[in-house]
Amino acid sequence: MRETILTKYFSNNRHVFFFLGFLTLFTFAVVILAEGFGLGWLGTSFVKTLGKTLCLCMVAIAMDLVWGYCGILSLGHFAFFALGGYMIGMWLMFARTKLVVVAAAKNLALPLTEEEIKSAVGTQIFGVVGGAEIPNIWAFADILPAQLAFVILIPGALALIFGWLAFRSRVDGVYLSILTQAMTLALALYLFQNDSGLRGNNGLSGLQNIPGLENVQQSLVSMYFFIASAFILGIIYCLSNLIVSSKLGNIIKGIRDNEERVRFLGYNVEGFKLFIFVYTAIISGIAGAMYYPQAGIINPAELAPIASIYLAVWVAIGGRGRLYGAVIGAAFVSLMSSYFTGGQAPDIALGFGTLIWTDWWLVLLGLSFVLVTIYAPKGIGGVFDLLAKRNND
Amino acid sequence: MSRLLYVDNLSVTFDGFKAINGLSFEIGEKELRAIIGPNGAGKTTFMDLITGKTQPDSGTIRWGEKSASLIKKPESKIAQLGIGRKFQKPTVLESQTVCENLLMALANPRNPFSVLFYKKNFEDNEIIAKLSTQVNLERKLTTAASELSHGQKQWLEIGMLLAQDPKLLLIDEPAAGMTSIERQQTVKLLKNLANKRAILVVEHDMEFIRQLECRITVLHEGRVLAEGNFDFVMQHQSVIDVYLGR
Repeated sequence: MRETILTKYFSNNRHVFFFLGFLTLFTFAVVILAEGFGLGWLGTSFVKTLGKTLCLCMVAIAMDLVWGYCGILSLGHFAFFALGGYMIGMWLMFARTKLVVVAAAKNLALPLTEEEIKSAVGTQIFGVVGGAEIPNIWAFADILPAQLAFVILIPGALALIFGWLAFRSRVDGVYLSILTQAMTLALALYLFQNDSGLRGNNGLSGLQNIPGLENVQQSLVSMYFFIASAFILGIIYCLSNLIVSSKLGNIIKGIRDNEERVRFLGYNVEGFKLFIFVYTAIISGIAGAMYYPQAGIINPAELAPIASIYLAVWVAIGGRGRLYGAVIGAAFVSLMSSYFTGGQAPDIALGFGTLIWTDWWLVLLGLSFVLVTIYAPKGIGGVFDLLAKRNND
Repeated sequence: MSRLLYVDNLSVTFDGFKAINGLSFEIGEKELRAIIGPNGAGKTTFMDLITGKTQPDSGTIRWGEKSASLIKKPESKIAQLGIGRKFQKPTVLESQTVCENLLMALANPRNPFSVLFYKKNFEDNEIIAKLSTQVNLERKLTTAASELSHGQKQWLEIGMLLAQDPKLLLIDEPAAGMTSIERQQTVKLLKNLANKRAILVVEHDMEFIRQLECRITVLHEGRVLAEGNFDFVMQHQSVIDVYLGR
């Protein structure tokens, strides 16, 4: 076979080949089976669940890079995820409300002035928190490119400032985990306030209605987002693989295993940690921006520290230190989770009581986390090692 | 012989304990030097001070031709200036191969973007091949560092230091845990290396030190107690009292 750059790359990174192949097949299968274009065997809400799962896989890759590869147990990556969601949510909500306001005023004798539109939009959006003023942070909410840039810039900047302060002071281990969790909690508490400018505990809603796509059915919109999520996940996977398979990957693994050694080899460890921290925060932001239009609503409860802990659990169960492990863990556990907590799982009647899965799912999850940590530290991804070994023998 | 590292009146206190107390010291280019002293004499703290891991309370540390101060410089900058350090326990990056360990140590640009786009080239391969031969690991290049023996890990670490091509090499207890053959090979290696660079060895094993045939500095309670060749130090009364005699 003729050796091209591409075939060489795939023979050195076989998991990328398999991953992209599987992702493509999966995407085609869903497109064919779903309501939007195809047979209609899969409902729109299920397609949305699958699309959201792909976004969770992105943030799991971020977590795997920062924790599995670089050894920083961050319990704050869901904060970046939610921030990304808020940034895109602002545009979705603002632009749509504006369209609604303008449409409602179509039959008026006098067209609305710019100021009147603004005031009406303000009342529509901020009425629930007792205001009509549009806060300053919404200054660019009407401009899609600006909010898209914020999806990357805001989580990136927060990670840069937070990481710079934390790493520079040589905070690591458990203390860093606690600090990242405190950051998430502080951000959540701030967003819960009505005067935070992001509608307090109401959050942003109606995000599934995409401005400009009013006449497109949700079954189609869900397809667009599903395909886009799959595409972005593929890109993030390749990009992250580029990082971990380069010399940079060797260094961040070195930082995980022995920070001092890497430092005395002359590498500025703090700079590398910061690089990974910011990169993963940006991935998380992008993932959030894809997730929440499919979820339809975002509120500060999404930032609860528990969400970031789940993230660590997914990555641990899937297998730390391998990208596909993170993807498998996130997909498997979050789909299981929505199965068990969605009330679809049949309750089990025991002699002395009933096992109700919505209550007992967390116990099952916790138990599997403990078991994986003790008996299978490589997680589900470790199975592939065993398979590869058997093939070699 | 021109002066490479110059330390004057250095002091550092940890919670009231004077770990280093007015220490003055110098080492020339291409000099092999051994440091001995009882536990708590400040040997490791002294290395921490030179490499920037610990900051002194007072005193000066000057480096190289320009006599630049090393104080308040971060560890990575000091390492880039040409000071390599070997820890007491062998510290190599266990989950990576011998080749990857050496590659990371090579004197190439060290910022995140240049390592991200780094491509292994012919020259680097040559250097790694040469280095691995020098530390007897040429057949282990694709072996994970965790699978090496204790002595081999020590050598790998020395190999990594050489890859950095430092002007001064600080080596903490290289002979610990080595077999007697490995010790002899290490003595040979260190003497050989000192032809090109300065080496500072901290060691407890007096037989090992004797074989090094170099000048010896005795530390005690954070300062220099005596300095001279092996026989001089062995017969020095206060050295016998505080260290050898016990």
